[in-house]
Amino acid sequence: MAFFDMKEQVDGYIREIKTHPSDELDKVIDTDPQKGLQQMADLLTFLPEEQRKGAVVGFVMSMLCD
Amino acid sequence: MEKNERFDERLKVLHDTIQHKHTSRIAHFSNFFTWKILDSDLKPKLSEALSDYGMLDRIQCEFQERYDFDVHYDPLGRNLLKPAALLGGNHHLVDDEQESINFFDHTLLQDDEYPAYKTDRWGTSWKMFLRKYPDLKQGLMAEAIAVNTENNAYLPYIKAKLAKEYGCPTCYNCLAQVPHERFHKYYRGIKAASLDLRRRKSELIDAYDAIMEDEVMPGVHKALATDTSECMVDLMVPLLAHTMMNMKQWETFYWPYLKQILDAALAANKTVMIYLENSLIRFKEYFQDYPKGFLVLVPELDDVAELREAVPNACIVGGITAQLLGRGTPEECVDRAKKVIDQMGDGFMLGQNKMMSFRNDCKRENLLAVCEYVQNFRW
Repeated sequence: MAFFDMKEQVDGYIREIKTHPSDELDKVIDTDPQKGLQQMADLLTFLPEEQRKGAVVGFVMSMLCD
Repeated sequence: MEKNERFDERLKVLHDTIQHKHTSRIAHFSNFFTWKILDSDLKPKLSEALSDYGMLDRIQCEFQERYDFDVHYDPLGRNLLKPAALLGGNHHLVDDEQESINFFDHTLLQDDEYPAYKTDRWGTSWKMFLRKYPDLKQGLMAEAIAVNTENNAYLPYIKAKLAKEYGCPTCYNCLAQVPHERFHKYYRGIKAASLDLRRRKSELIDAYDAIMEDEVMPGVHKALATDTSECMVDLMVPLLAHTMMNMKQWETFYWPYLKQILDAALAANKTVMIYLENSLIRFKEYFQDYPKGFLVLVPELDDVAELREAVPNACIVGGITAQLLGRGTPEECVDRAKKVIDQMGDGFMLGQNKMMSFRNDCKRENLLAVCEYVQNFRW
């Protein structure tokens, strides 16, 4: 029986994130909710464009309920 | 969905039980959470298992193969510890020595921010997020989102696997909560939210009305339009915060909103599971007028026979306590199962009375004895 394993996929996502300029990655998140949302979405190039903002919103809402 | 040959029979027993139809056997409901990790022959540390979805998958399969439940309330899918650990802030403390996970009461929404939350949900949520994870760098958050894709993928994966390999239907696909629940547990914390009920009544009602109108009820209607015919229930509603309310507070801040959700589900001819912390009996009148075949109650403190008398129209899940499973003998546990099955009759599923989380909540030999009994029981 096979078991859940997304390690390769997630490692690939993280490699993709690290291709962004280091000054963008090291920047502290913008406190403005719309700017912050857009800036974060722009980093999620491992996702199709139409999914990026939703991924940020979904993540924020999930982590508030953790 | 691919299904094991036992799926249809399990689903029929679950559905017929909810409808109070007589079934040839008793359904067995798993209310087991992290106890599964502690019971596993893989013997992982709690922290090790919780950060490895592959291991959680193995543990869930091992648990099902050993105990053969009909349905699982939690398939070890509720777990945001990995992305939370990456972000550096964590309101959970996983203690491998004590084998415990502690959750710390905390306040993210400030005292005067209910009006802002009402009108600008995203903006206020963003502020709360940055309070929870201050000085967070963009790259780290992006990594956490990447890591969280595992969590997003795991739950549908394990539900499909339980159906395909073991014939276990999904307990529920859709969840709804009244607005107060999010403030009680996550945004204001138990202490501040309880004080708010007295000090900020109109702000709360204002915000809760808006949340229901533009968020909860549209979500409920969307959920009710989903095909959930292969789930045990169509909608799950957890009742947690009601434990801190007196009757007047319940009537103001909880029941009006819960009633909207329940009435919408009833109008759509769907079933609702109410998963309870603490007790429901003091609120029994509110649930007595719903028809048989609609409500499923999973109680914690309430004795199932007393709850049956209080809300006779509801299907009840439970009957075996953690105290008995953890400290009794196999014979005592089986005697209890026999007694409660006989006592409750139709409209009853055998289950445990709490989220089974700690080693002392259950002994393997006791659970095996109960499982053997219920799996061989026939009317």
